[in-house]
Amino acid sequence: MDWLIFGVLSLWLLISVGGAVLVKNPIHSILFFLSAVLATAGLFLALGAELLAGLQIIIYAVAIVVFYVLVITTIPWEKVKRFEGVYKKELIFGVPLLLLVFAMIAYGIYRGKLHDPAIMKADSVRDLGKTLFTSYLFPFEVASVILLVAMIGAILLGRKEE
Amino acid sequence: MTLEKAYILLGILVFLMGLLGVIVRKNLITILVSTEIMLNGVNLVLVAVDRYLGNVEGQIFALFVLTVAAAEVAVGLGLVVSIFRLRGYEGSSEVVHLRD
Amino acid sequence: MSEFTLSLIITLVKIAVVLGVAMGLGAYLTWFERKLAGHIQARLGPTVVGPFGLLQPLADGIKLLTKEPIIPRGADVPVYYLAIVLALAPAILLFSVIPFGPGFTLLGREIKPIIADVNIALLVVFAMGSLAVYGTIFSGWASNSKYAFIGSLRKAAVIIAYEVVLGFAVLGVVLLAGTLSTTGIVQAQIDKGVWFVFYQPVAFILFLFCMLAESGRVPFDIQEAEAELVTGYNVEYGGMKFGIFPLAEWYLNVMALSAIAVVLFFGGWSGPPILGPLSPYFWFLAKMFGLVFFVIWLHWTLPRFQAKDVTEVAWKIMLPLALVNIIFTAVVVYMRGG
Repeated sequence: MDWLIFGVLSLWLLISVGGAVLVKNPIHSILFFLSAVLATAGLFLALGAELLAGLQIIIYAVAIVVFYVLVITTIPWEKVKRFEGVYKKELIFGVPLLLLVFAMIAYGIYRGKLHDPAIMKADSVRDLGKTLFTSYLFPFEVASVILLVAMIGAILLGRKEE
Repeated sequence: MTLEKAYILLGILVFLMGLLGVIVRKNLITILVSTEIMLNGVNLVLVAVDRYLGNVEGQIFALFVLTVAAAEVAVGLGLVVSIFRLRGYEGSSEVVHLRD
Repeated sequence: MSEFTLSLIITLVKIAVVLGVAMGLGAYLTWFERKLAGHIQARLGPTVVGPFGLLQPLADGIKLLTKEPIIPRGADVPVYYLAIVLALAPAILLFSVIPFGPGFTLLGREIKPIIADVNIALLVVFAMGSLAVYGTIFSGWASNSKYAFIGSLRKAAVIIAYEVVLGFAVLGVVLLAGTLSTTGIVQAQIDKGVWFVFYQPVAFILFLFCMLAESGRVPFDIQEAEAELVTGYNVEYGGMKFGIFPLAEWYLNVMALSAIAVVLFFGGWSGPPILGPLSPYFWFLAKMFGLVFFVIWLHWTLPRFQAKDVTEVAWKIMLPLALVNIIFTAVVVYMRGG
């Protein structure tokens, strides 16, 4: 049963990622990316990471992809159409090389001996909250400063020169 | 081939496909989308490794990756909009001014 | 029959029931709204088709289904049709985390009248409520028309501003209940014996505003502004393709969000047992429709905000209020021992 859920979700994810990487029209690529984000959220739920699945949808699917769509729809379409699609030469060289890299890593993982799976606890939201705010409090505050700096930077970059 | 190894292999595959997207695509915005796909693949591996550890540190790390991805998207798209305003185009083969 | 197929069948039955009832009620809410609008404006609503105009939604449905499908030239056809799906799916998915009543046992199995009892039900509500912005943006963009696109950009800005306020307003309730799951919040209200609306009145008013903004109802429906933008982002959709947008946005979204408001603030299905074993469902539906009635009443009595004021109010007035509310609630919960 776990394999069935994993199979369906991973097929959805791989088709979406393949579409996002290879499709000509940029808006279609962003739509495939949205579908990939939802598939990843499903995979997180199947792994038992509930809070992360919810946050994945809220941050990625609702904030980041909306940002992409707004930026690309406010640029005039004729300018976008001059640069759409993929470079064919790089595609022909890149695909076998990356397949080779994946084959090497997959062989290593398949034959390797990893630790035995541990037992997952039930209420991961409570555990995550406790660990995040006790052991990882400082990185949490640093992350909020990063977001503040990125916000200031984005506002400054996006301002029109007067 | 246990289920946990299958999740890790899936994450690595998604990461490599995103890398292919960064190399191959023409439009600057789709290059950024492929970068986000790579970050998604990394998150998947991080959460899958949780099963071996038995605690939630993988999810916390993935949460920080998510936060940094959001910040990076804001700055990256601000840069793309600035390039477009200054030069009027947004193809990756046209932004070559630092080279000369 | 194995355990898995049995639970799968039960879930499919729950989905069929909720989907059927929600869509049927959505269609009949149009009749209710027109009757209410009529009486507020000192006239009768629809009375011709059937007794009291009760068959009016059927007539409207048949009319919309038989119109000619016209697609503007230069429109992006896959995205044009996908926008309709993206508008309808999140509104229906919101119904999957709403608890309609307490668990009961049937033939020896414990059945809970909620489709997906996850630990993060409230996060799913935020996510689905905000995924509705895609229907708006893509329908405006794929129509290849400037009026439609301006309307959709306005609505995207409104939804993004109000989803932040929504998240902060609900945090007070989560602090009091100690869990993110909807059944847990209802149970916490029953255990404490008091509805959370008395503990968190400010949060309830903020939630009401966010519900109005996310569903695009007056006073926040600047993207429709019938007199200015010719109904904005769905101007190029005809027939039933047009009919789905108000159904998903004005009716399904309002019903689902007022059900969530009932779960968060009004104690869900708790109430005196006047109808025996069916009384939880009666109380839940009564409270939900009370809120829906209030929202429809507001629609026909208030004027609409200006486009520049809507987001200003969200960021400058509501967000600081929500933050002050959370700090106050957190301090009180800590001092009373959690």
